[in-house]
Amino acid sequence: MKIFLKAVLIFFAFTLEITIHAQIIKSPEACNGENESCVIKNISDKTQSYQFENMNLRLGKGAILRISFGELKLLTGEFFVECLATCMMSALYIDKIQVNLGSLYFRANVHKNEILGISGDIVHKVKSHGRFVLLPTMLQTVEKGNLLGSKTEMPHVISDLQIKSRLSHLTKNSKQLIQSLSKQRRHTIDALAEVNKQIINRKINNHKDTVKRKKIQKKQYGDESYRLRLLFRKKNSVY
Amino acid sequence: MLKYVFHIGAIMFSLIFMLCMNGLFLAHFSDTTSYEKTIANLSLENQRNLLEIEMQEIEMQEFKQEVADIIPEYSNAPKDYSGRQLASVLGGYVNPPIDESLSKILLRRAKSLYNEKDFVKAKKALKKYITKYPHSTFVPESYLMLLNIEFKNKNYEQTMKYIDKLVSSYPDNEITAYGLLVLGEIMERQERIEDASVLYKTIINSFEIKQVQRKARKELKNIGLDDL
Repeated sequence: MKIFLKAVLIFFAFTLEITIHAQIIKSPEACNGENESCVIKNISDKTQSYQFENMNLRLGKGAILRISFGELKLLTGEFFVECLATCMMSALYIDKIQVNLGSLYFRANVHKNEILGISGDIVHKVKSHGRFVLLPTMLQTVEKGNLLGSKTEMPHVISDLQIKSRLSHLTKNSKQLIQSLSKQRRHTIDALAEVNKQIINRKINNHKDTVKRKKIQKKQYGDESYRLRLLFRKKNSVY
Repeated sequence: MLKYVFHIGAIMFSLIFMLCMNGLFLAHFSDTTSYEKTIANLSLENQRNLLEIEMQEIEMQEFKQEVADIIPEYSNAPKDYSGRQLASVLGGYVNPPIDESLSKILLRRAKSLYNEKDFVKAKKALKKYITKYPHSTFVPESYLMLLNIEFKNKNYEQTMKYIDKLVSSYPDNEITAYGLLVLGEIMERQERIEDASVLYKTIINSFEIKQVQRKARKELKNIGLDDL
């Protein structure tokens, strides 16, 4: 009986046809990304996984990224990036994204980049706008700019529903993620409120300083003007 | 009991064997697998072409972004000519690289038709390419393929027209030299040996391409006028 089963198994093994359907394409095909630049695209309808150094990436349908001399640049589409150590990457309108033992959601098209903090320490830099720290549930949008570079605003906290619409098709454990994010939202809101308070205080102080400086300048101008008038009168004996 | 089990096993095995053989037979003779492979390959090629077009747009945006980053340092409101020229790349909707990319795809298709010796379709595709992209750098190459098709069809008059176009529009191009070699061959076929000899000598003197010179010398030797 065992021999019979073995025979059947061997027979089936010979009749098996293995078809490989490409899910992710590379351009150029034989590119390693270390000594050259290569583009990677998810051409399937489903989310695909891709590993790069100490990162686990989930690429949404049609997502495109570029690896150039060991550096990662997220170009278009949706991404879920998980960093197992410290990772660096960039995007079209974000110059530098640094993630330390954490994960983030990223969505991009040729006009706009959107970055959402999920976990860990995330810092990103937008040229002419400075550095931003992204806490869990914080979302920031950077838009294509004009002559003054990219356009961006302060990051803001988004709701569970908004997070769900972004993550549900990218990760398998989106439910747990949303639950854990839900718990952290309060802390993020407090931190963001503190940052906003500091910014507003700084603006108020700046305004106060400006008013004070202008007042001093006005007084100095008045004094100088009075001194000159006196000098003129004295010189021309106008009394 | 063991005997029955063995019999049932044997019958099942034969059934499975027959089913598999039937499957293999159908798969082999219906030729569906080869079509499936062709479709998969074409779809992959299509995806690659799409990626190429998408990348052209992304790279254009990257370039615009780089310019946008530089300009504020240069001047927030560029007033001089060079500043305005630099700033002008930030606006506009026309994307020439995409057009260039599309032209490459069209040419690639024409080339593959030419290589597959489907000359009727290749001729049509090449003519379309030349009409649509008359300023492309690949026009001489397209003319060469067209004249080769006409030469193979023994339509010498049309071949000479294409060679004339190459000589008048791209006199210094390497491809023109190859076109002239074809002209020499036509002259030989028309028994205009002396004309052919003069032409080969002109090719040797005008084009410093070793492969072309070697071919011209060989032809001169064949017609017995290799007094160079």
